[in-house]
Order: sequence, then structure tokens, then C-alpha cells
Amino acid sequence: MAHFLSLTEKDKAALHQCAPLLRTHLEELYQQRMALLSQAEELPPGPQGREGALLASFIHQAMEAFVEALATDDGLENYLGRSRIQEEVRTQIKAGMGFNVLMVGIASNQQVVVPFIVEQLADQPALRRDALQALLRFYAIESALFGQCYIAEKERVILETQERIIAVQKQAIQELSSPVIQIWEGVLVLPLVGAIDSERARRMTEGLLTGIKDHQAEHVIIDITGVPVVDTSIANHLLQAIRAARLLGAHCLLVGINAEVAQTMVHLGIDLSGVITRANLQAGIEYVLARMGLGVEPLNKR
Amino acid sequence: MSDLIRVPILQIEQFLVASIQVPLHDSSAVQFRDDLLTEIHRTRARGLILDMTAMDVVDSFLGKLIGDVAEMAGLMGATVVITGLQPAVAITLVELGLSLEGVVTALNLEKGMAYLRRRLAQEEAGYE
Repeated sequence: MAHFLSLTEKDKAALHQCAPLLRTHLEELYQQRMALLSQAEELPPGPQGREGALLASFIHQAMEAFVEALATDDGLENYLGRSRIQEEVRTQIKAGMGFNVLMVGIASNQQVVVPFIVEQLADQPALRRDALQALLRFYAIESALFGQCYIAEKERVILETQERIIAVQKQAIQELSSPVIQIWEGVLVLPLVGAIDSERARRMTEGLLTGIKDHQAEHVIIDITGVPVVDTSIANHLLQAIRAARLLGAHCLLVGINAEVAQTMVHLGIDLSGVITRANLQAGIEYVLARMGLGVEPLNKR
Repeated sequence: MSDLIRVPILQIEQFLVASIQVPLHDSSAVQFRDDLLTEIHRTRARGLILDMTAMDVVDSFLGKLIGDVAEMAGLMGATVVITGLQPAVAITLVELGLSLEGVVTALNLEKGMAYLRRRLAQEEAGYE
């Protein structure tokens, strides 16, 4: 079964015969093509348009490549090769070429070459028929491939952009998700919310240690009220953060372990014996203030 | 052994202070440990502050050695306080499993000094 998108041997032979003829009239054809495009309603008016300039340079190159390609089998194969067209489309999209402009630009080749061949080969009806048939197939293949590649490339670009946006958002969320708050001179609170993976744990530890250094904090209250599940790995991350903070000279206090988490921790055999724990943030603050020789009492005590 | 680095050990009241400024290779680190212990013995110091503020990197050898010094100094009646450890160094030590559980730490030299004075005062109050 013949592939729809491929040239026959006969087509190729006919195109090879047209090549010298086209080459001698290359400049003339280019001028015709540009003249045609300057009147095209699909294109933004004026040669100073950004896409207009892109198109002019694209067509100049394309015209030469086209005539070169017609001359040999390899040339044709390369010219209509998916990889070449993909590369071309990628370059044009990067430069900011729109789909309509690109397709009109490609179609303009046909608009000038077909009438030219019809006229030039008027006295060789057999060759003219073969050449026209070959050219029609050639153009069909070319525009189909350009269309396919353009869409594929656009999809790829969109996907890439989405991935980039997601990565940026993820980073923003991570930065937001482990703030270090100073609640009193030398007292920091690290409220943890949501699941903790290794990456976030690393970030959290770094943020905590930098916070301790910057604020010269002696006490840190780590509040895990917002952490739904604590497994061995999360507990290990927490312990590492606590040990590292202690090396800096800060005392850590773990608060907000709810009944469920406490049960899980005991079942998993997680040893927090070296860590001071309190039920909630309030109890933690009370403990730290007491250690600092401070306390909270009513203003109007009589 | 001319490339051996000697870390100066200063005496303030009943305490010794040593600030490590450059990375110590193994032989220099061993020399440093010996110097510290000799000096503690000679001065009968009650405390020793190792200031690490200038250290960006600590290898496992030095990390372990510091833990050893703390234990040895303890036997000689001196409390060791490590001060000014950098966040990155702290993370590395913990990851290496050298959490220095037996060593006192403080945020900076001043706080380390305050701790030693407080502790000494407590001990002396205990004798009376």
C-alpha cells in the first residue's frame, strides 16, 4: 500500500527536470512571491510588520532550498523530511511567526511556481502533466507536514510553559509553607502545615537554622498541629532538624502532637525521648517563657 | 611537619577560648586536641569554648574529635561549649551522625561565656 504522503519515482524524475528551469528564474520567482504576499489579505499590512520581515527572510531561504531540493532524490527526501520541517517550524515559532502567516507563506510557493511551470512547459505536454502532478503532491505533503509539526510544536511549547509555571508555583508554595516566625526576643515558632517530604524537610531545616542564626534565637517551638500524618521518615527529618538546631545553640520544643499522631509514633517506635514536647502551641509558649524567667499575667491585678 | 596549623588558645578568667579559623587537617586537628588538653591541665580551667564561627566546612574527623575533646575535658573538670556553628555545618554534622549529644552549644561566644559563668556560679553555690 502506497503511503499517501510520499512522492513516486515518476514524480521525483519530473521534479528533477523542472529544477534547472526554476533555478535560472529564481530571483524572478522570489520577487513574484513577495509581490503576491504584499497583497495577501491574510497578512498584516506593510513590509515593516514584524511578521512581514520574518516572512521575507524565511521565503528567501526557503526558495533557494526548494530549488536545490528539487534537483536530487536526497534533496527531496531531506526537504520533505519531518525532522527538517520540525526544526524549521521550531525556529519560526521561536521568532514569533503565527500559524496563518506561515501557512500563507508556504502556499505562496505554489501560487507562483505552478503558473510558471504551466507557462514554461507549454510545448512539452507530457512533462508538464507529470510535473504538475508531482508538484501538487509535493505541496500537499509539504503543507500537511508543516501543519502537523506546527501543532505538535505548539503543544510542546504549551506543555513546557505549563510545567514551568507548575514548578514556579510549587516553589512558591514550598517557600510559603515553612515560615519561621519570631514571637518574642529569641523565641521562634516554626508552624508546619501539610505533608513533609525530604525536599521540604531539607528546606525547612535550612530555613530554621538560618532563622536561628539571624534572630540569635535560643528557643524554637516546632508546631506540627497541621501535619496530618507523621511516619518514620518525617519523624527522622524532624529529629535531624532539632539536632542541627541544638548544634547551633538553640533549644527545640515540639508541640501540637495530637492523639492520633501520638499513637502512630508509639506504634512505629519513634523515639522522641531526647526532645521536650508539649500538647499545643500555648503550652509551648508558656514553657519557653518560664525558662526565660518570664510569664504572662493580667494587667490590672490588684 | 612545618605545615602543621596551631590554633591559639586564650585564657579568660577560669575559662579557655579557642577560635578555629581555618580548616584543620587530621594531623593539625590531633595537635589541636593535644594542645587543648595540655592547656586545660596546666591552667586548671573550668570551661572551654570552641568558637566555630569562621568554619564553613567541618569534616567527620574534626567533628568526632570535638566530641572526644568534650568527653576528655569533662574528665578533667572543664565543660566544653561549642559556639557559632554555621547552619550548613550543623546540617552536615547531623547527616554524618555526629550530633555531639554530650556537648553544650551556644549561639555565640558571648552566650557561651554567660553559660559557663552561670554554671560555675551554680556549682560554687552548691558547695556552700
